[in-house]
Amino acid sequence: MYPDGAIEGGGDHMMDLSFTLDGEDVSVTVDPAKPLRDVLREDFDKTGVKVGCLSGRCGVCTVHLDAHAIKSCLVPVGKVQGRTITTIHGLTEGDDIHELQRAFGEAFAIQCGYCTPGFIMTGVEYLTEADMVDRDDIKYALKGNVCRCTGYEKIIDAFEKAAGISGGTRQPDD
Amino acid sequence: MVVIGTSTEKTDSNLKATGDAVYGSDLHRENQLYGALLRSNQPHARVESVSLDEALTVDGVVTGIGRNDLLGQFDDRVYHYGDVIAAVAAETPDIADEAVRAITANLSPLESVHDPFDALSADAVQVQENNLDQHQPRHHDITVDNDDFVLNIDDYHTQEFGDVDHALQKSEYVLRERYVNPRVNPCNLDTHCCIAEWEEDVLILTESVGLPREAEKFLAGFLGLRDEQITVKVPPTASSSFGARSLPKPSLEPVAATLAKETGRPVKLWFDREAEFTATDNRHKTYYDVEMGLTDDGVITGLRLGVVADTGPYPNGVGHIVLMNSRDRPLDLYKIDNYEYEGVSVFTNNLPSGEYRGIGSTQLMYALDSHIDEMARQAGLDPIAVRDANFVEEGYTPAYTDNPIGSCGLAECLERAQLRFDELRSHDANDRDIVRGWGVGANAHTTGLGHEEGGDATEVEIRFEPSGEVQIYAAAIDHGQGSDTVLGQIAAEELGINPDIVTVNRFAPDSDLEDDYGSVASRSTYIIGAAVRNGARKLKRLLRERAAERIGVDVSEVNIDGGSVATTSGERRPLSKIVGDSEPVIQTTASAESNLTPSAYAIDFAEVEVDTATGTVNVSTFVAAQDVGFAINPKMVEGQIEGSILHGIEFALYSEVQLDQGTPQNANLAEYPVISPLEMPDSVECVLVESNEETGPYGAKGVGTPSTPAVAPAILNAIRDATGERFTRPPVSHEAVYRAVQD
Amino acid sequence: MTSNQRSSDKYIRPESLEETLQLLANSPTGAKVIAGGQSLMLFMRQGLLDPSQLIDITGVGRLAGIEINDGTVTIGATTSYQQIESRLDEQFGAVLDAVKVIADRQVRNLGTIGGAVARADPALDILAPLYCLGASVTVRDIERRRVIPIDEFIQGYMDTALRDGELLQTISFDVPSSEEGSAYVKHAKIAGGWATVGTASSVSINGDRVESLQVALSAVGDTIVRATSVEDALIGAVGSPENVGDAVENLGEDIDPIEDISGSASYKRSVAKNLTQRCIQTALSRAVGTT
Repeated sequence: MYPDGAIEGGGDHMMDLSFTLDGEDVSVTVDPAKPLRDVLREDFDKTGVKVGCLSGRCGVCTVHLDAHAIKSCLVPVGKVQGRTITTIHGLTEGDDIHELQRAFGEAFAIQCGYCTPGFIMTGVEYLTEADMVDRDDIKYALKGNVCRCTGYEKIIDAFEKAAGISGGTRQPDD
Repeated sequence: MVVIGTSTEKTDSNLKATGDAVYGSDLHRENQLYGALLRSNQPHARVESVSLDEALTVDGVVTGIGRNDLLGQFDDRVYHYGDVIAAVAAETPDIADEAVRAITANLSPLESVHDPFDALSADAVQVQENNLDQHQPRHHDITVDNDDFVLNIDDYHTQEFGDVDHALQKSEYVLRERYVNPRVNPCNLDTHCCIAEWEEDVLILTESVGLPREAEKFLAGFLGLRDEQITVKVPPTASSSFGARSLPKPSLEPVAATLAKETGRPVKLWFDREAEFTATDNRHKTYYDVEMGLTDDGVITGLRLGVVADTGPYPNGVGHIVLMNSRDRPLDLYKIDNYEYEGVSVFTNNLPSGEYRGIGSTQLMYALDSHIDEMARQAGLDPIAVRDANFVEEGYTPAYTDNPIGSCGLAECLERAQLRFDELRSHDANDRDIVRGWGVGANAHTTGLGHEEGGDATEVEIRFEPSGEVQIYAAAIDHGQGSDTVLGQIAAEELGINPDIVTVNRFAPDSDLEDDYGSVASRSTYIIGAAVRNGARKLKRLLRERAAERIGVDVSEVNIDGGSVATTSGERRPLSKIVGDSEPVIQTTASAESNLTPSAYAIDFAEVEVDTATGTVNVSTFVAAQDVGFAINPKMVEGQIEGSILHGIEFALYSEVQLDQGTPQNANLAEYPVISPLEMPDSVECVLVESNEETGPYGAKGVGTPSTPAVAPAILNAIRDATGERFTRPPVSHEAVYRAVQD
Repeated sequence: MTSNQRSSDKYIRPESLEETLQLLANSPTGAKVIAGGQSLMLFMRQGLLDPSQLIDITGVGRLAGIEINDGTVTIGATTSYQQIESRLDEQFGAVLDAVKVIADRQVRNLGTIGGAVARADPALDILAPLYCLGASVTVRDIERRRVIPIDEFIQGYMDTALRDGELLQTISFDVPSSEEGSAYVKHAKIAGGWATVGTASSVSINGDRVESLQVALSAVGDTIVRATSVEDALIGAVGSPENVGDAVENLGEDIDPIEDISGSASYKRSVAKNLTQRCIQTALSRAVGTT
């Protein structure tokens, strides 16, 4: 199967969908059972949403659905009707980058970089919700994202750095 | 200005962190088609017929091609699960997939062979003729000196020094054991992807390949084209490799090239995860028969190594590397006077094997380190002391070469790693459900390709742009290891400028600059870095001359530092102001070469905790010391070492592509374990040892490959310590460990 | 959705319970309810399922959320693991333990408790704790509602009592008392992986004696398996480590694991015994408040 191919071909089930994507209202006509990931790449050129597996393991396709980190290969695009999707491209506005993105660079958490957008998307949700950040907790939060280059050590360093920038200990989730 | 030896941030981190980096799989060509393949579900079969009729009726399908009609050396047999039967090109990926499902292929199963020992015998089914030449790199004639090795011989090497029989007879301890490593896959997250385009009779391929020029030659031979008819371009951002992106793959470039030729349009072919497992590079499953003698004092008297590597069905020149590293690397690490070696790589109908971080060395050191450790423990000797008693040192000349060792940080690695390990490891012995153990592993691995015929050489171009920026054109490909950053640091150091204004580029495919290899074999810093250093020194001289001319003083009165031109009279002005807009552009080329392959060394210590209720093994502490010569960017060196630890842990404890008569049982990331942060050691520390290799730039030698081989044996030796059992067929399952702790 | 947009029968996201039940009553053969979709997408990709219609129930407000009333916890079918983790406290030890070892953060954000119960795969971690807590499953169709104990609702391997036209609405169980403690312990080859064996227990104590005990195991049979012989051996006895150790020796009579990629049957028996011992100890310590 083509890595960014749909699970079913054919055009008899096409459906019009509208949703908010990286701050813009968009619409598309598409097979609703097609993985969200492939629609984001093919129809909206969101190539920061990466393709690594089709089994929900690697996490390189992680985006936010209504502010929750999800794996976009495991979501049929029909599910996003009327909802809000944020990819790595919509994480910040203008030239600003998120403190976690900056921390990834400073901590040497990026080698080939293919996993990085997925880690950032999982991590931004985690850092927003976590009331305590320590190394064990970070490891647990990141087990759905695979990195083949770094051995994760410097990725965890980046999370500590980012948490430190914003005060380290966070308020409990509300 | 001191730029080298400091952890300068990677030049591409913002691009990658924002999702804006463009990898090969993100590229689109105007008017592009999508390729898709029908792959074999049988390990060996004759393709009797392929019917594309129905596939071609699918709306949006442009062409379909059976195996026989593919460009290149394809015949009417499929040789492994995942081998190509037919291919289509279509307007969208979905349509291409649909068309593949509509292809009908009639296959007649052929007898297949999966055990490499069986494959060697006279009555085996012949997968390929002996010493088959498909224009793969490093092909050479062989003379086989073993009556048991008759068929399916890909490559064959022997070596002999001294008298092993005699040495073993005199030894107090002799042990013989077989070690087999798992068939592991690097699992690059970005799967292989290639865009093929023809401009008249020239094939242009765009893909992340570590060895573009070698790939061009290989493919020209395989496809029957002249060398100048193939150009391989590297995408804006190269994908990770770990070796697996060094060479072309039979079902990638030739198939994309055929589809593009048939349609006259660009064709993008992107492997799915199963193809990544079944049609790219897995580490050679290799069988090591190790026989070694030891004196009472733990001195190695002699070593006999028999090596059988499962190459899979196609020759790609990598079996040669496995056998060569298995042959020579023991002598780079230990002083061994009596040595016998025989190695053979074997064609089978298993999945193709290829390059993966520490080709041959990773397998070898697992076997050798396990064996020495076992002998020490059986003899009641300290495993650390036994290694120390046999390690090579500066000035020692291994038997296979005339070149004495120029730099060797083994002793310092051992001392500092042990010290740090003792501080970090748990001394808590009170948990009754946990058994702890510790182990050590060692490695020596070469830097660069100086051993290749004609040595290793490279050229670079370096330019001072009117904008005041420095552009470097070099052969390095930054797969993420950070070569662009390191080469920029070197230039900045020499030029006395800020590294921010240096950009490192992959030179154009048609460049006149010489370099046959690209980024492989841990050569980027050692040989390309040396060329950049030489080029920057030449450029600095040219800049000083131009500045002196502009200011109107003698060149001896001008220096460049901190991005400024300073004169002996005390005048100080920005470099770009003096020479920035001057014509012609100031530029130079430079080269570096080496006939040497200085070893980098590693000593790793591991502590494991075995849960006696389940056999679960947790790597609690890991200390990796590595002699890197000189660390130009220490944090990036650590990153290489830490990444190696992950790959070594998978090898020792988790991962294997499981085959049943050649058919993979877990060729996906749901079932093949790629480990998460939770399987990494609770505590990891890198110790960087700098032995100052005189032939390397600033004393540096290779990093990425040498850090890998010692990891798995350190862990397996720790499990031996904890459980009393020696595991010789990793990955070690929890069940096997559970049985060991119950006994 | 505006009126000129093309809708499709292939994917429907109703917004009320009534609408959902109407759809189910009239749905074509091959229609499939989708909640988080985390398993469904994989099944479809592997060709194990090819639904003609997907009815996405996550837009139905009444099906989501956790209510705690009169000593009963009621969890809506589309409540995600993440919502359970953030809402339930340590009192629900086994449920929390289980939720934390399921897959990963992203999957827990979408994966639902109702999806797991309806799938009825004995390897799913959340089920054994629900057996221990004596959970009930409420299902309904357009006409009536049924409340079924979970061990009757789940009838076999991936087989439930859910009928055509019925929707799994809620899962409920009693809030544990302060004398009760529960735990879930799992072995997997890697973190977040499928259970080799999972074991849940819920215990209440009176003085130093075990007053009640429920033990249930995942991944050792066609359904979740209650370890009644272990329960019988310990109820009424002092909850000492020795007694727990003796009691789990009986576990082999209750379970029937098969050899697979996770290990041999005999290994799984050993792990089940050892982890059940560990699990009961943890539940006991929670019951007496020592952790």
